[in-house]
Amino acid sequence: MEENEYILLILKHLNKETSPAEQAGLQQWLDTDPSHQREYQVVEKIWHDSGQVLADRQFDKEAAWKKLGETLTFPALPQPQVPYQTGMSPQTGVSPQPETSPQPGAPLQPRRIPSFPRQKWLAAASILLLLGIGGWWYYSKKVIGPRQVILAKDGPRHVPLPDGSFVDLRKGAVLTYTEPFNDDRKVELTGEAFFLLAARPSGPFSIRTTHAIIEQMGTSLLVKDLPASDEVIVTAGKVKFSDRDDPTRNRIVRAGENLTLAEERFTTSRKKEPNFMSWKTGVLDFRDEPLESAAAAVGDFFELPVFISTDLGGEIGKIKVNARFDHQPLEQVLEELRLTTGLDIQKRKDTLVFNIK
Amino acid sequence: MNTPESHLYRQFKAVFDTYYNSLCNYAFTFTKNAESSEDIVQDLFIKIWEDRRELLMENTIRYYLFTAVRNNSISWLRQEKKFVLVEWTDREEAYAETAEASGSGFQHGSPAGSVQEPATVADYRRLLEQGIASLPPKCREVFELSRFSHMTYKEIASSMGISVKTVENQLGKALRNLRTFLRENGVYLAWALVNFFLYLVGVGPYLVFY
Repeated sequence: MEENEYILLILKHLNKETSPAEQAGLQQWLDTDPSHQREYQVVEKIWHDSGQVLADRQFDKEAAWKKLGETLTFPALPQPQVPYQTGMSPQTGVSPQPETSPQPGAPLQPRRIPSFPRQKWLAAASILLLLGIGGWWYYSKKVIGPRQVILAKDGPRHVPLPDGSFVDLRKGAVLTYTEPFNDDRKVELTGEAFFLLAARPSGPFSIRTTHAIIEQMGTSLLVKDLPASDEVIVTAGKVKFSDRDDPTRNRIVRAGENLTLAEERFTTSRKKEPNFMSWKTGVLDFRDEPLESAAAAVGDFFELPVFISTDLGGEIGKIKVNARFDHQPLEQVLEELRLTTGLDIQKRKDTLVFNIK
Repeated sequence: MNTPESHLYRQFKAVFDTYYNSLCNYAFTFTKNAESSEDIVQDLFIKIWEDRRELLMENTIRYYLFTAVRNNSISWLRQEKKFVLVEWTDREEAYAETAEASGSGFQHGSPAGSVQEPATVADYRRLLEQGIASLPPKCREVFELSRFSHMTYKEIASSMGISVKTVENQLGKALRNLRTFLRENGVYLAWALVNFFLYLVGVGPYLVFY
């Protein structure tokens, strides 16, 4: 085995990533030569020691926990029956005495209870009662219900919302909203989703993403919340798209338009993206599609990065793709693309590589 | 008392106890500032308790924590204008791997004026630190995230937006580079294992000789 190969294998083993076959391969390699065992120990030692060297700095966890307690409200927990003690004092060997806690049997300081006329008690009680009823009424109108978190964990997910709208979440997307939903119709989104919104004259529907706030005015739209940018593609109606950090910066996006917000800049385009919903429909449809955008659509669909070799040079612009794929596996798609474009297209190390033959 | 609330609270405390120190250390690899690292991690815990308690019960909490600390540290660097984020594009990644496959090596840097002398225990730790610091930036990022978080290759890949294969290759590269770096600076680890024992029993003052 080459150096690179066995280092990768040892690392996999240390990270519990080996398959049974790889595990057996490693064992066999170790058994063939005592020098291999030393090699193993060296890699293990560097791996282990660098973990220690990196996590060398000690942060004050207790102080941090105390600080969190000042900001957050925690539920009251029952105190343990036995008082918590830190142990023996190292100098004296005598367990420390509680410092100022009162002794259980100690007499309390007598306190004079001031007399308070009965009528005043009643008046005070009725005011409290009125306040209580008022407060309950107010609170019952404002009460914030449970937070709904919907995650499309294993694949696309179709989610009906309480107001009659529908959302299609792409795999990995997360949608959050608070109940009752119908009052303000606000959702938060990370990832990609298609919204088909119920018309509701009473109030807008708003979608918050990492960088933007999108408000609807009766519509259907696709929202992509990516780490560096947010994109919205409107298929019907129109929306208002605002920078979340500065909502005064906003644009109106109409049907057929795409708007991207990246690095605080809006870019509008009317370019047709026929395959923007492929993850939902399972269909990729190319008609005279330039190679570069077709490759990007295939990569996006199969969630693989795309690399177009620079050897293709100016040829790229000339190659057009004409094909339609309906729920087909990657290998079939690549095979047909190879035939129609005459290019060498391979999946290499989780990347789709396009090259000249 | 076993209300869902107190159950969540106990879970929150347990997660905090388990991860606080590693998360701060991890943030420190970006910020190089202890106070800001603690702020980033504390803000994250505040956010979890206030908005995302449901995460506490998920087994993806580790992934969430380290990914959030990474993102927030990068945002902090951006705000402080200390760092221009270099996006790890797919293209670069493919290039990196092609370069790797064709065997073009990484140039190892030795500390200035280093002479091949035996290294002591303290030297060894210092050298390992230097070795990690001199890894190529993206390689170091993958390596550090892996060492701090103990996440799976898949989780690291997803957290950094790269492929699983890249994670594996970058970790391998980190180990090869570290080993070469140590060797170039007079640390021969195959011997070190034996000598460390000799050092412990007081036979020699040096961890390593050759």
